[in-house]
Amino acid sequence: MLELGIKEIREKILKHELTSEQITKAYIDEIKNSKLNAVVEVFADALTKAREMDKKIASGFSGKLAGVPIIIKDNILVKGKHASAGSRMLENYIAEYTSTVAQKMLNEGAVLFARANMDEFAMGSGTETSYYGKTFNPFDITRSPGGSSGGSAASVGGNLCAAALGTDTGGSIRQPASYCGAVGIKPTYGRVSRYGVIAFASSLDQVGPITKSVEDNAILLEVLSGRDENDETSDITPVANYTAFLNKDIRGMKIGVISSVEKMMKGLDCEAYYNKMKQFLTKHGAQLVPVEVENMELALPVYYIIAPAEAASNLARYDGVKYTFRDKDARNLEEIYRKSRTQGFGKEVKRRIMLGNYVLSSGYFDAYYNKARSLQAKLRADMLKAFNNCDVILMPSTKGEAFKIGAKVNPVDAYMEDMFTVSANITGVPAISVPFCMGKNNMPVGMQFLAPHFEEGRLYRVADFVEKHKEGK
Amino acid sequence: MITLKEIKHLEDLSKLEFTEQERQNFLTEFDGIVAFASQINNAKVSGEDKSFIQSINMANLREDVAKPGLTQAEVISNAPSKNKGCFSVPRIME
Amino acid sequence: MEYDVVIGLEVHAELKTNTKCFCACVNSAGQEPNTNCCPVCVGLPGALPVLNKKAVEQTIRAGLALGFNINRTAVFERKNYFYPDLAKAYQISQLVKPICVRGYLQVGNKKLPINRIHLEEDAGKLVHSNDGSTLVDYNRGGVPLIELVTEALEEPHIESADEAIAFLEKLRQVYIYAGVADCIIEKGQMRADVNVSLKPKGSKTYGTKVEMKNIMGFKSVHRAIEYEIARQKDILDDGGVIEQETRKWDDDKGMSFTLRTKENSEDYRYFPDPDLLAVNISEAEIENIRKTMPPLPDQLKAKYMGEFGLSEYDADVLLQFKNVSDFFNECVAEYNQPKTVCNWITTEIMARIKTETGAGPILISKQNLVWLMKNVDNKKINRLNAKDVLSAVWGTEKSAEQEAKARNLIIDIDTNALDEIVNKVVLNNAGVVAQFKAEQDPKILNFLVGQVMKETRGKANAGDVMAKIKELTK
Repeated sequence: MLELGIKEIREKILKHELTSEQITKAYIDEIKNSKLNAVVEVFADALTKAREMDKKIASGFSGKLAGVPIIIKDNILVKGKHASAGSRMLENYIAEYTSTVAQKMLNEGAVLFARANMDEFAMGSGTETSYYGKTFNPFDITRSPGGSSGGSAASVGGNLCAAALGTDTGGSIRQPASYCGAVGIKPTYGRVSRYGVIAFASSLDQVGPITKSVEDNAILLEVLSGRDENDETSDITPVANYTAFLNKDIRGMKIGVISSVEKMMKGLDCEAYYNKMKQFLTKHGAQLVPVEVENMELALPVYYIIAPAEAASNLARYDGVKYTFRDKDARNLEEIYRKSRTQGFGKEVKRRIMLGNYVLSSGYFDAYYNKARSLQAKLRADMLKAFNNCDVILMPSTKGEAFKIGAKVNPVDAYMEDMFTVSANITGVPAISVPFCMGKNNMPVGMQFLAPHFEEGRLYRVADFVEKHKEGK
Repeated sequence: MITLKEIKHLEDLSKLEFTEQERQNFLTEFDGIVAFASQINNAKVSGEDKSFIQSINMANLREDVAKPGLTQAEVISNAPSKNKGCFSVPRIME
Repeated sequence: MEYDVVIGLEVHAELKTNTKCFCACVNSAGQEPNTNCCPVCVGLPGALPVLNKKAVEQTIRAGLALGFNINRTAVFERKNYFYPDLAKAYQISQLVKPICVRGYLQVGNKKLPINRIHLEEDAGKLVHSNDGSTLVDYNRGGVPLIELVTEALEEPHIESADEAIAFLEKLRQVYIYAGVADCIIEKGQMRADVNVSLKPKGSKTYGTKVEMKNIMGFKSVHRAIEYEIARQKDILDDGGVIEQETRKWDDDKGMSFTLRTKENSEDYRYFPDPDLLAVNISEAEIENIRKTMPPLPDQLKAKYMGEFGLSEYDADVLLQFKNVSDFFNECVAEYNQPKTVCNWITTEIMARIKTETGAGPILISKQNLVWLMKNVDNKKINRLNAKDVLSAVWGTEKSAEQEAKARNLIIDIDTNALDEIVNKVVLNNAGVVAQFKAEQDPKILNFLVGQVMKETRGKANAGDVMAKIKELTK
């Protein structure tokens, strides 16, 4: 029962083969026994909410997520619930309002029953920087689930929920999804509202579903998407019917491959899996088209300038004055600021705040921030041009299989984890990671597809086909 | 190369404080990170200052219509220190 | 030594809108603390700003009223610094692409250049209490502000405290007439930062600027500027050097103090706010705002003096308060006798509404005032009686016409009846009449007129009566 996804659970509940309470309780029990540390908190009212939903369903309600237990990442607000973004800074913070994404899921009948562990303020690629401890990979607890949505991906991969929400700023949905054998999408920037989602880097952050199947992913993204008057950057483009893209073949689809990306793969495990995917695609009638995007290898340093710059500013509000941790010994305002922030933030967050303020500070602004923004514009333009010649672009999601916990000692090594994922964030296009094969250590490996802005449907078409026709199916 | 003085300045901007030892360690680490970011220096961009900014037409901006917000109790519900419906900090000497 | 004084102004004004700049909270002051707030203006985690269209329109309107060019694309940036009144620890403002660039304000015979007007959000309020704490209230946080920055490095300059005040008063008038801001100084709706520099007379090189922040009220601005000019003169005369710094004006002490020097000046790390989009402003939208611009003080003054033939003094009196000139315009539209209307308003109305700090509301309808003016001019009511009626209807719903009738003040006595009364008075006062004939003393004439008016109970026209008596006593 635990391995069921959104679609099956909803159907069983509507057919009275299962109640929301039963499945929610099953997940809660599983979380209690789990050694993954994927979940920070199971909400006290989870079963009450599930029972309420069962009643509502009994009286005819049949929302798209009716009764389905879903876990949210610890940076997504639900009024009256804790949300701490994996930080001591927000340890006691209780949301005063509900995020748009949570509200949309609640409207469709979801039971948001727990919050998932994450890298502190989503800064990390291994769910190792959380104030609430490391999360472990459901396929091998000596390995990382990836990050920053590692708790969400491990919960899905470890069957602790039907589905989970993550956020993706530089790969934080796709990389952990790849490591945990789950489907994860980073939607087009502006597709999903960011209102009520604790910000990391505003121009790059997107919320997205992490699910057990491509179909579940499409169902959930359809619920999450759309213009929100509370988020000026959310787009007015109508939301497509994503499930309509499923169960199609990929014959004649033009799959872009980028030579500079292939160069970046040299010496990495992913090269073999990537080549295998190319064979798979051609075998099923898709056409590989070489496309060029200049400076792809610079997407990562560009990201590590823009994201920290925005983060330094976004995280300045956590100052010990309004709703955060405040150091008790602080005697004056300056001490409240300095001591609260020094103790409230972990090492990686401090590192990125310092880096962000460095690239924004007078004397460095043009050389770093402005230069990075120009390169971003160029990458975006090149990416759009590449899509003139192909339907989707293929890339690895990750360098290989999930790394061993504690293996990333040097910050820059850890940053390299995002090398294949950041380009989608930098250019704003949607990208999906779909489980493809098992790696040399018998860990799951995902492959990544990118599509033009608001063409998530194409991603679902190809990912759904991969899911259904890959080896072992 | 980043200097200790620069690190201290960044601490001021960031409202953080490192111990001497932390600062030393950070310095080494930070050099590596900045070197990593500096890879972009070699890239050539035509129209150097043309960064991409998404735009909205004025007509599509929010209409000037009021909506209810939070209650006072909600506003200060998470405050580490509060008084008379306000957030409270030690008296600021101007 | 003789110096040229160069004064720059940065003027903040709260815009008139229904809601705040980036959220749907009401734009109004004076509630209980933190009761006019939402996740956005308290800077809660996950909250996002959404720009108010009206605030942009109002900024454009302010710009057009001052001859500005409007940028077709405007960008919002974050100005980063920590202070408890700044909920997000950054202020959303504009640096590189403000909404309005290059305008001017005509003050006296100087066309003073203005660098920019940009739109930004106000901060909350801090109350320093006696129990050793400072309290933070975010009701004002997020209120839309426009910041205007004069162009101090171009001729002509603001060169004295008097000119600075004239600039501010004129600017305030323009904002109020354009309908973009109420600019109530006591409520802090208009605030000025001032910078002052001195250079040797005739020198082309500018001196070092010293800035003074957040001075409350125009009188204090005047004092602060005079103080700063004197302070810098003393230093320069002694061969000293002016330090670039920001000073704080203490109005009680009548002195300013160093707030921060150049070395520890803030690095605000401006960058485009990634939560907001650049705003495209179309030519049509600009034209639409231009077309709906209410008449501005300079236009009205030209009309009053030219078309209406009023004196400059009268025009200035009428224009001093927008509600007064609005009322004047409405009355003239009803009764096309601008000089008469002007006289009534500058005397009777002004006397009733003028307060120490401004002008109160006009508590008489234009219909009532027009009725009184017309009927005085038509000799249907005596001027003194008309003023009594004005007093009686002021602040009430009463009709002037009905009030005049109720008081039996309408001049409806016919010529025969009046002749009869005049004859009677002349007969009954034969002695006095004889004296008048001999001495032609106007006082005696007035006495006789008074007797007739008494008989008619004020319902005759005094001028007519006087003419008749003169006729009879020739």
